[in-house]
Amino acid sequence: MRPTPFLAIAALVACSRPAAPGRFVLRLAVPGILGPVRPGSDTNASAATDLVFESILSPDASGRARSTIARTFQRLGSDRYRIELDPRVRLSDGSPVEFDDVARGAAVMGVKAVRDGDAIILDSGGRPIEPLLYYSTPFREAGVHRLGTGPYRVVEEGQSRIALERVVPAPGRIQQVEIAACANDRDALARTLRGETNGVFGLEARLAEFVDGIPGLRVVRGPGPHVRVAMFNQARVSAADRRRIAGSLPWEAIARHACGDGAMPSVASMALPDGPPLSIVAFDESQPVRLALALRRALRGRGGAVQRLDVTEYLRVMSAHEFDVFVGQLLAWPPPVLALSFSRGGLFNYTNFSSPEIDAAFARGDAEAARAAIEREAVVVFLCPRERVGAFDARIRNASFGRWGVLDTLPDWEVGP
Amino acid sequence: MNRRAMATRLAVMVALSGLLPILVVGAIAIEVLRRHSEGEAANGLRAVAEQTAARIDGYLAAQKETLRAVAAAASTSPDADRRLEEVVLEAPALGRVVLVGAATPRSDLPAMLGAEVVARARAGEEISSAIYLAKDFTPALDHCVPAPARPDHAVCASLDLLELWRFVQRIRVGRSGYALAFDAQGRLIASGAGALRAAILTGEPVPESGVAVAVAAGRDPGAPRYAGAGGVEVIGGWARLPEAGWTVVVEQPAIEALRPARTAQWVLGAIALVALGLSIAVGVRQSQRVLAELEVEERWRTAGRIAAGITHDLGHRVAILQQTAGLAESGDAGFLPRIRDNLRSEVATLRKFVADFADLSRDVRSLDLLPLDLDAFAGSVARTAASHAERHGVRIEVLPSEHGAWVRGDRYLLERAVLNLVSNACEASPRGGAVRIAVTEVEGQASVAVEDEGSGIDPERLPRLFDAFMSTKRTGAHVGMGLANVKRIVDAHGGTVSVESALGRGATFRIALASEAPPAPAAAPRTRTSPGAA
Repeated sequence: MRPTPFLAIAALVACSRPAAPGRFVLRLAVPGILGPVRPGSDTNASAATDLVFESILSPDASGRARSTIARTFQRLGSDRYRIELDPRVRLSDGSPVEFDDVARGAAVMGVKAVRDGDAIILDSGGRPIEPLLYYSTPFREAGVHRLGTGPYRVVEEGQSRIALERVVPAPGRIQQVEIAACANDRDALARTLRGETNGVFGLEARLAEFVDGIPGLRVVRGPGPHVRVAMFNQARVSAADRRRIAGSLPWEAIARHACGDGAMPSVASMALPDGPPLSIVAFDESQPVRLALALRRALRGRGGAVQRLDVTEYLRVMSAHEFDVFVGQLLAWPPPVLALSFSRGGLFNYTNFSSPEIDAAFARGDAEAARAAIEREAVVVFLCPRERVGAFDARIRNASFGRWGVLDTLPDWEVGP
Repeated sequence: MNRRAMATRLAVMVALSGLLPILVVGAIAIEVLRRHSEGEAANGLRAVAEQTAARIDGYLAAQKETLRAVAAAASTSPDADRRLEEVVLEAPALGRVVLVGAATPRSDLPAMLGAEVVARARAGEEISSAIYLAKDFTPALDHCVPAPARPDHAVCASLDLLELWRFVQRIRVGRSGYALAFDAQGRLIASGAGALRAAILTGEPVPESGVAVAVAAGRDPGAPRYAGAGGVEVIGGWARLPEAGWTVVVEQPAIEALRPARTAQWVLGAIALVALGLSIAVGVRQSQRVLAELEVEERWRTAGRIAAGITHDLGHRVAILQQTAGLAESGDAGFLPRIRDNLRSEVATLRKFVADFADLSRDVRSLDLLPLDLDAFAGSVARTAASHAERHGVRIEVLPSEHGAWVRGDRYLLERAVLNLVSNACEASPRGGAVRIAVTEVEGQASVAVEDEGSGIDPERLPRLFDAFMSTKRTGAHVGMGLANVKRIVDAHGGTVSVESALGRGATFRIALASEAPPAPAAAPRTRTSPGAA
């Protein structure tokens, strides 16, 4: 899971050559250029970085923080952590993880590392630290490649092809992963359908039934960390207005209608606060647009124009505050990552949202309280989870998506005959 | 050939001759069944294709009708733009619906319809785009209808055709039959065959594209059996959507569609094989039994013929010996010369009799093959037979070959054979006549011909002349084994024996053997005998 999923630009690059027969290789088709496998990469190599590097903190299945590289970790404040490295943890060349490796990885996310005896103090300089540690991955430069503590090491990395191999061989598991750059999403899917690659992810949910029934492929679906939301612009819509609107609308029914099969709820008798029409912007995708239109209908007279945005326009509109309500997706799991969007100086806080109560909750490390405050202040209405959809070689028995990193569970995938 | 092999051969011949007509009729029946099945399968698939096409056509018509209704209901409303935009909430399949006027910016027009085309819709004509893949790769089609009561306006929708995929993907014929849908250009737009779906995304042609183009153009696409995806032979049926110009092809692997005919084929084949096996088994058993009975019968017949010959010949000899004994008992010394001559003659005759039987009992399968100069051999035979010839007042002439003739043979056995022929020739020729032994070598075949000047052989006897015990001479020690023995010996050498005869002009017996190159002169000096040597 990388913080900049929208920055990958598709490029016309040929897919990789096929692997030698007889040995199972997971060949993933990924749209766009790949580039080097390094922490903080803005390219579509993030699928590889998830397998090569491990972050200082990561969420377990329940969303609680855990660490695979630290023997102990202790929250010292909203922006400070103290960790003790687990001496058993090794980089992929077998050498132990050292302070410099941790400091190097933390620095990528703007987190400073300081020695504290055998421990390390990590300081995010006033920003909520947990989300940043989710993205901070210790690594070491070693010639052409970078070494991480993840289950795979880099064998080859380039703009069109990345090859990884398992550090510790495990019978019945995936020993080798190739990531092939394809011209675009369509090309990636087409190549997988043709059998040139045997894994693709990031599909639209509506395509699942299209992929279903393809010989040799199995559709995999699962929840991810993103949620469809309606987000009010606090700079243009007052807190009172937001709260009244949020309290008036049948959000669950709207979400069921737009994200599932529910009927559009009747909204004629609902009381809405007076005010000017709210302009709504939405990602130009089927589900967000339906959500936006459903919201507008529910808003009746308060519903203004619905503007459909692509990624580039989205960033501009958000930064310029040119919207009243945004309908799109938000990184919302585990709860501490909400700080990226709703704490002062957060990495994704494009609207410069600020709330003392929410900041205080994040500072306390009480992400649940922060989320409750976000909902109470009607900054965001969480509507429906965004599902991850992909298709993988049917010989893989237990393919599933990680709730956090899309391929977090890949090392445990079992390959059948 | 032993009795078992002969029985098997007989049984196989009988079984095959009996089964062959059945197999031919069965094969014809199978072919008829196969063609009928193919036709039936194609008809069935065509029916499915027509149903599918009708369903898709109906779906498209329903969406367009909905759009017309929406246009009629909403286009007059003051907030028509908003109402139309929200139509998708109730009618998701209509996709994005917009009211289009002359001032509508290009960015708000349907993705696949240009301003000029939409202008026709504003002027009152319904228009559609070609089917295309939307941004999320699902199929879509832009359609515009005139906006009633709103002059110079049209209502356009980007119809969501995901349902088209569902229709097509759900169709299953048998275990692995599927449906495909093509646009008018033969581009695959929906596929029930998972292996072909990549072509929907890439637009690349599939094997059935040619069929689809022909159907869309109203041409005959040809036989319903063709090579489908992956080169698999399929049987297909197709139908055209008249309005959209699309084609639905429903196909099924031929091996599956024709399975009943194939099963019948296998069953018939299996029955034929079992019947054949059974016939052969029963035939062999019965043939062995019959052959055994025939053999026993033949033995008795042979024994009878031998007994008849022996009885006749030995009876004559016994009569002479009894007569001679009577002369001896008379005590008359004057009979002594006659008694001596009789005894000598009868002893010689009995020796010949015994020799013939000895030849008959001799095993000719183990031959002592050596190079043999036929010219010298003929001379030798002539010398051996000279006394016999003299007794009959006949002279023997040897006609050697022009350039020599060598064969590989058992000299003793061949001599017995040729002597037999020469002896017969001497007996057949009139006194003062001649018997000729001619040796020739022509194109790898050497022959020894024995020619007499007798009265010739009755043509009716010629076909069975070399059969054992078929002699009719009965004039001496002839029980009919001589020529049979000759044939046996020549056969054992891989050669042939033949006879040419005409009544009143004598007979010529010819033994033909494969010739070979003479050995080195030192090893086998060649000798020649002069013609007429006796």
